[in-house]
Amino acid sequence: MIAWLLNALAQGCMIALIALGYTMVYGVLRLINFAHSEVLMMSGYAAFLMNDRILGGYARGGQSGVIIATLVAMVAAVALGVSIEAIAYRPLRKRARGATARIAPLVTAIGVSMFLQSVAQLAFSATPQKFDPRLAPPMPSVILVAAVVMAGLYALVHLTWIGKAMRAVAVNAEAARLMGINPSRVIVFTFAVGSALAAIGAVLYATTQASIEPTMGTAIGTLAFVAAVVGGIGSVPGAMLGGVLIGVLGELVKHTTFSGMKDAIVFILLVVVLLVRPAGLLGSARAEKV
Amino acid sequence: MISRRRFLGGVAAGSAVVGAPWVVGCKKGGSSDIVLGAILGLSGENSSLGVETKEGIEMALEELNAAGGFKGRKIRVLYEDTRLDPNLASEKIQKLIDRDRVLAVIGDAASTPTLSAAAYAEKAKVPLISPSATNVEVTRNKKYVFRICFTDDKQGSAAAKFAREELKAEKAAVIYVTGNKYSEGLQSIFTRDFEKLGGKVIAKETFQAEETNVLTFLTKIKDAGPQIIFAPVYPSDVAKIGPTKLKVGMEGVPLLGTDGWDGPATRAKGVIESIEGCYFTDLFAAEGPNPRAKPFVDKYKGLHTKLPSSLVAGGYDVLKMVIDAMGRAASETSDALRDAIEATKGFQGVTGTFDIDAEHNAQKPVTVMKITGGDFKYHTQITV
Repeated sequence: MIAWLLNALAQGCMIALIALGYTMVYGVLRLINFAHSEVLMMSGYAAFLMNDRILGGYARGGQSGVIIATLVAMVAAVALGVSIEAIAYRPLRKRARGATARIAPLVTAIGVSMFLQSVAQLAFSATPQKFDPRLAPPMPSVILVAAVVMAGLYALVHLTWIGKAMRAVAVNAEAARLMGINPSRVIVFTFAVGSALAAIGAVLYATTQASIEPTMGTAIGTLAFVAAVVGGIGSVPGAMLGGVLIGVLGELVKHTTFSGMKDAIVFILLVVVLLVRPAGLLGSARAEKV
Repeated sequence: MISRRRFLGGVAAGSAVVGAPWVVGCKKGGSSDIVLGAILGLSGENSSLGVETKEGIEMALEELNAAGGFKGRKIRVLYEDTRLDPNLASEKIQKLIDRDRVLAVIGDAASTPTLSAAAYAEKAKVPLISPSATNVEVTRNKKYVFRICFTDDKQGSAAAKFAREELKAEKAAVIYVTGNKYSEGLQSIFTRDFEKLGGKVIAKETFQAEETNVLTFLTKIKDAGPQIIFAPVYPSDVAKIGPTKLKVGMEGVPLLGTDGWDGPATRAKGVIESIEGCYFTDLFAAEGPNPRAKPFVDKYKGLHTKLPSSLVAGGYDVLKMVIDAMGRAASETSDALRDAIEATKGFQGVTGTFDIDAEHNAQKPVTVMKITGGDFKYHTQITV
């Protein structure tokens, strides 16, 4: 029973880490960053190549190799996330007016996602790669890592100046600017934090279970995006709650005779949640200014 | 500055140069070559199935062409990638038959895409021969579809017999993939036969193909307390199930897999160690008792520095068998070739000597492999 609960919570924590990236960017920009799943995939590759090719895998590096690989993956993810923002989204934000202000970045996000998937396929081939299963951290440490990271994020958002600035931009970017906050800098920071969290999620996912391939981001990213929406997109505790909920529901379904239709059943349950609370579990139902 | 006329002249000359090999190629290719098609899953999660089958086909092709081809004419094989996806498989077989006008199509390596391609082969009246699609439905009631392997009916029975009689297991658990015809078909045959032989299947777990975490399933199996776990799955699934089985503390309970296990993902670091002492049924063993396999195995080892898998052997045999049938065909048409393949008797391949029976299957003994010392080793053969 305890082992089961740990496994379910670990599944949920990994989804939550990735869901946070979607929700934070949505909070400050009102943009669903579909390229987030590709940041996750690319950081998975960064960690794998570092661990397997440079540190010599399990045989030479052992468990400590994973920690170094995670740090490398985080740096790579931050660099990629910030570059995507600078190259693809910022120019649009400066130029877009009226109705296109929302649609153009969204379409661009989908484009960036497809572009990065194709780049990964060319660079790393479509053949899946796998971490040595002996490198997998035990489930309690997965939960511990996720809990520490999420507590740190909560402190960052609520106790620091930049966290306050993030919240201010999320509420009203124009008013924040008048108060002396540079929204561009806050946005870059948000992308950096979200990408670093995705890298941690990617390494945990890839070492404990998933294989690394160009389409891995889409499979895991869909779960995380749904988690962010169910929790209430834009809400940081909501993303954590949504992720854990999906993880635990999924594990519960595995105990029924319908385990072969796990995703379908979990998503039906989540639709029911959204019918009852359209803004998500912790989302605010206030009307948005457009 | 180049004048417009000189520029256009240059373009014309350039395209003539580029086009020349095409024209010559057509003349050289044309009707004198024997052109066959192959649909194989060459990319994606379980690409090793298609890639290794292609290695076998290429080996046979090289040997045949070096020995003068077919009655002095060159044999060519055109490959199309299906990703083992049923939709792509039916699209690619249409392309080979309608555009390239191939005489016959080889493939696919797995059952689900082969079943989908089979419908078009029947319609177009072009033979489709699979080296390793074992699902019972693949050739059932079909005039133009063949395979050179046994069916899952036979493989599942052999696995049940091996588990019951040689491993003396009384209680078995089953883990399989939902929505995969191969996996679902085998689990139901194994269950039927294992219980017919007096054993009992005490736990049955199923997961979706995209599943990454199988811990819950193996915990439930452990709680049921089986003596063996039947796992008719593909290499990517073995990579999930093997290490998880160790994690839940079931070192002493062997997995019993099927021919779908044979692939590099099963041999990967950390995976192969986790399935030490497990068994799987297969179509071919490089170190098996067939003396005809020896030169083939040695040659492959020289090229790839590893032993050939059952897929390599299947690819090798299937092309040789089709060319053998062509030699016996009354004319060079798909229909005559179909009749000749159907009449195949006592074909001597590296996977064994076999006939094509009335149901279009090849009857061969089922080989059992055991994972020993980090490698697949020949264990025994079972005749059902």
